[in-house]
Amino acid sequence: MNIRHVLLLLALSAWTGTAIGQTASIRGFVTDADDREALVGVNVVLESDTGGLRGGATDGDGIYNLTRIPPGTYVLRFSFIGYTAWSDTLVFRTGQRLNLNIALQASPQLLEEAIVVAESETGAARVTAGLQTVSPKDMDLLPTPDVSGDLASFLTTLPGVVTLGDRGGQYYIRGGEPSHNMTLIDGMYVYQPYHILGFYSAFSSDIIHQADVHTAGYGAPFTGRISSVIDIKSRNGDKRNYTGAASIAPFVSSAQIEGPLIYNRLSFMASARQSVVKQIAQHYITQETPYTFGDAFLKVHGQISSNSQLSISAIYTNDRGNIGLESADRILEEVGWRNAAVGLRYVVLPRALPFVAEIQLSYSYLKTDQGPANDPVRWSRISGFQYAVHMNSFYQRTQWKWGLYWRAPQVTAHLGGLFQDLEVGVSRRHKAGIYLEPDFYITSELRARVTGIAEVFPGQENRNNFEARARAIWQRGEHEVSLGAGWYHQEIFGLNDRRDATNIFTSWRSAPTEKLSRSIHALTGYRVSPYPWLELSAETYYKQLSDLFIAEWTAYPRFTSRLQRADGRAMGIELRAEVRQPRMYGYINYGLSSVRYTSKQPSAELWFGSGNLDFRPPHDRRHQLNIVATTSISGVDVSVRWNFGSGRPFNHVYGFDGFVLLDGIQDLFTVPDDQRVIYGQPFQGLLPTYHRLDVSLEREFVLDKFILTAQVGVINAYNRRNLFALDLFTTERNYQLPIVPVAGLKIDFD
Amino acid sequence: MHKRLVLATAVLLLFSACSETVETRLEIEHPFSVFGIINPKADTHAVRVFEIKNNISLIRPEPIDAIVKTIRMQTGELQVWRDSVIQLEDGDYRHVYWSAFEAVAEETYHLVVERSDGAKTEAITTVPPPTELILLEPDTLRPREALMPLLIRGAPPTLPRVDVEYILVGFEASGTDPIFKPIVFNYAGRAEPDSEGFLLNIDLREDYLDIYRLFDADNDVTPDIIDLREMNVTVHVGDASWVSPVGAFDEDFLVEPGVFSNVENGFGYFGSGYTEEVSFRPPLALLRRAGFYVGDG
Repeated sequence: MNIRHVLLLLALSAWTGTAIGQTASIRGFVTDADDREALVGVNVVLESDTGGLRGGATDGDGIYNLTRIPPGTYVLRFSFIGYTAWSDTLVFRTGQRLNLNIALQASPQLLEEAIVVAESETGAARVTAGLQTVSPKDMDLLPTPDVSGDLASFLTTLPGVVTLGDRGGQYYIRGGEPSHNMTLIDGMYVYQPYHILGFYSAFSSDIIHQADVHTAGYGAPFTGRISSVIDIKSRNGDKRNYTGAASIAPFVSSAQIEGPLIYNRLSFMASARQSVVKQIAQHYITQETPYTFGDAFLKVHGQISSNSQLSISAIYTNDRGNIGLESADRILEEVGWRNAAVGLRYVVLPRALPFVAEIQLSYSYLKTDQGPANDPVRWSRISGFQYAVHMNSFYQRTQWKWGLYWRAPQVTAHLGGLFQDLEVGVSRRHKAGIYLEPDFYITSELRARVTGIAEVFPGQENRNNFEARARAIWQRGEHEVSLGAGWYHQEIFGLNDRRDATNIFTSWRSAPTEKLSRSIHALTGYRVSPYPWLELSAETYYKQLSDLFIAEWTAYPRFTSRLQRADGRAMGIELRAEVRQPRMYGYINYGLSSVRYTSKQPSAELWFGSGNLDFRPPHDRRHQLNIVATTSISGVDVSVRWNFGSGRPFNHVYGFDGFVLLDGIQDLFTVPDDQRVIYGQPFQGLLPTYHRLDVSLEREFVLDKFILTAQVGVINAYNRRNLFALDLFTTERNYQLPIVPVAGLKIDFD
Repeated sequence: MHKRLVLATAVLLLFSACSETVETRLEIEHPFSVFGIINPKADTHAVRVFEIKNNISLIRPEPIDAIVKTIRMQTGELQVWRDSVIQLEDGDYRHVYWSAFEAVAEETYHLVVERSDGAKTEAITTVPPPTELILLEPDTLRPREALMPLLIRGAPPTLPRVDVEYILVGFEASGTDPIFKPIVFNYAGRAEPDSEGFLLNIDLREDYLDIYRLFDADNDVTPDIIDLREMNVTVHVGDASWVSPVGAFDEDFLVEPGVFSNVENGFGYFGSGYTEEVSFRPPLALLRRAGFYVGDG
């Protein structure tokens, strides 16, 4: 990115503003009249007295923005299912820029319809160019061991998301590894937000307004991760009434409160959850569950003026536990991680400029550690500030997005010889970037988006980076076809020893060779709604991965993993069918995927006969099927989920012996040696298939000042002995949770 | 409704009854891994024996199911080795079999480690002939070099390791306490074939520069003078098979099973060899040329 490009961009912005000066524009925020929460996807239509129509929909902040309006008289309409429509007649003059904020009133008569359509706005089959938007309702539908839903449980229903089991907090999205996923809430990075017990993340459905899950082919401003992005917007909190909730269930308890700090202008929301596994669930689960976790979230949101909003968010998580098996040769070590992040987000619709501007400033922190209980001997830490400015404007049939950002993460690792024999390491990977992303509305049926990104890494070996991305969507009637492609990079990694599934310690590091990991994504999708109650979709994807870093194949067991470079590819097809009926909702999705890694390791040639290792990594689950069904019987919400996954690869071994380095004449009575594992070819074995049925029943009781929600259910209803991991060193088996009856209570108060 | 319930229950029972077996191990017929040396200059020889096991559990001190013996091929002389248990620093045990006999140079010994079911791990080694270390006069006509020549006279099949040890004392002009420091350089692979055996040129100048850096790195001081008190050279003479397939004896490569192995139906290495040592102090002119402190002498 040189100065000429910057000047060109500024000139383009100025020209856009000048051109729009001949016409009028209107924009503003659309909120719920009851709690002032932003409404996303509200239809905004402007109808001229000659019958001409123009329109749009509100974005994730509830913002609408209509530009290039010729002078004249118009009827402005806002409509959203479940809400009373709003309309007014407006007269626009040349050059006029109107800011008009609208509060829509919920309509109880339309509530039933709202539920159905709300699902169709998001929904299990509604996937476009790798993007699936998730609402809290989607999460609440699933049977989980808590009255509230959680993003983590929902992610496991996606056909392209593989987990190693019901613990560990590791999510592999369309072939990528956990550290290849970017997770943001209100623009803040949360590096490891998924809890050690797999049903939970830092994001309960109570705090989420909307989550965008990009499993491939995402655009700007997302850079620095090569596989996926989960972009969460939290709720703002009620600006008119104080509300709260408290819940207790066998695995977690939670409390939440929200309300106005300044009536109608400034709100807060505070939420906290703490695991009670040891206090409650452990008393009746036969399996050891040594897990402790918790999270807290706080947000203050204010309508600063009629055209601007400011929010401050903070999140904290902690996890600790061990998921391996104790054996004679090793002390069971604990793994822990703590996230903290705080961020400021300012959204403004400048009166003098035809832009929507968003300014973000945040600080994120993660510390991971591993070692004997209360004595972590290895740890890594990543921390740093992020600044970003995002601009959004419309010109004729094009929506222009552009922005600037600066990220300054610092990674510190104290690994005691783990990973490339590293003891202590500190690295900084500062970068500055700029992007431009026009979205062309070519016809009423076809739109295309192209993205250009330029980044500089000041004072580092790889000084700059350029990326291009593109997306096209064609929509006619009930049919939608989408295409996506893009180049991606990653400069900071979370390293794991994947040879041992029970070792979930992640060490965050800069790439050891200063090279950037890269990926190229390509995807195609088709979606159709043959009936109003049925939606079908299919999406194929291909990811080319290069310069990954994986644990070196070595005969030394445990904690001596060196790193080696690897390339890979992931590809697959995902099929989804979603049924929406007033009294029944459900979906089936199936994923077929294939992931392969290749690496060169000279020492492997001596043992395997070839130095080229070509193998399926342990997250290559070939088939995955999810069936979710919900209905209501006599006021009781019944939810059922069945999940099936084919076996994942694991390492075969021939046996175990010892190794003495005879590099000269030695005294065999005193010379030290090492234990050795005699591996077979990497990941040639296959673990058994996985399947599980979860069921929950839930009923609300409306009391005088409270709503009491009672839940009963059962996890792993038919007590399937699903293998979590094999300890190849001891041949011990580590199983996932057995049948677990659960019951929970939640009280909501106004 | 009743039928549906029965059907659902039957399906659940079917699923719960399903269990798939998973085989974690591949078949391997090798019973043992062995690491041992016959040393013609020692009166006792030893071999460390590992059973190839199903898991990585600790090795116990109880006897293992192995009989270890050697046969001197030229004479048919049989030696049955005895088990001994050693305990390592971490508390783990190892089985070291030993035998006291006089190994004869250029004779071949056949090692057999046999399990009670008849499974055998075997190896053969031919003891290398004797050698002699002779210090030669340095070439004083090459003032820009400081090479100390050492002749390894004889016909050693391999020289897997050559250690050159410098016994040093470092002083600072400020008068701090002297720093005593032994430093060892690995000269493996640097001996050149010669008409009488192998010729090793020890490069005192190159080593001095490394020594200077090591003093700085290890002691965080840069001595003003470094005095070389003595040098010890240890040459490891090995049998003909004692050759790393990757050149150097790099642990990260050689740890792979089957690499650098002469063992049949097992893993490891069973070789023969011995060490020759010589101690000396190079001539003062050579030390001065290399950069070492030589005083007024």
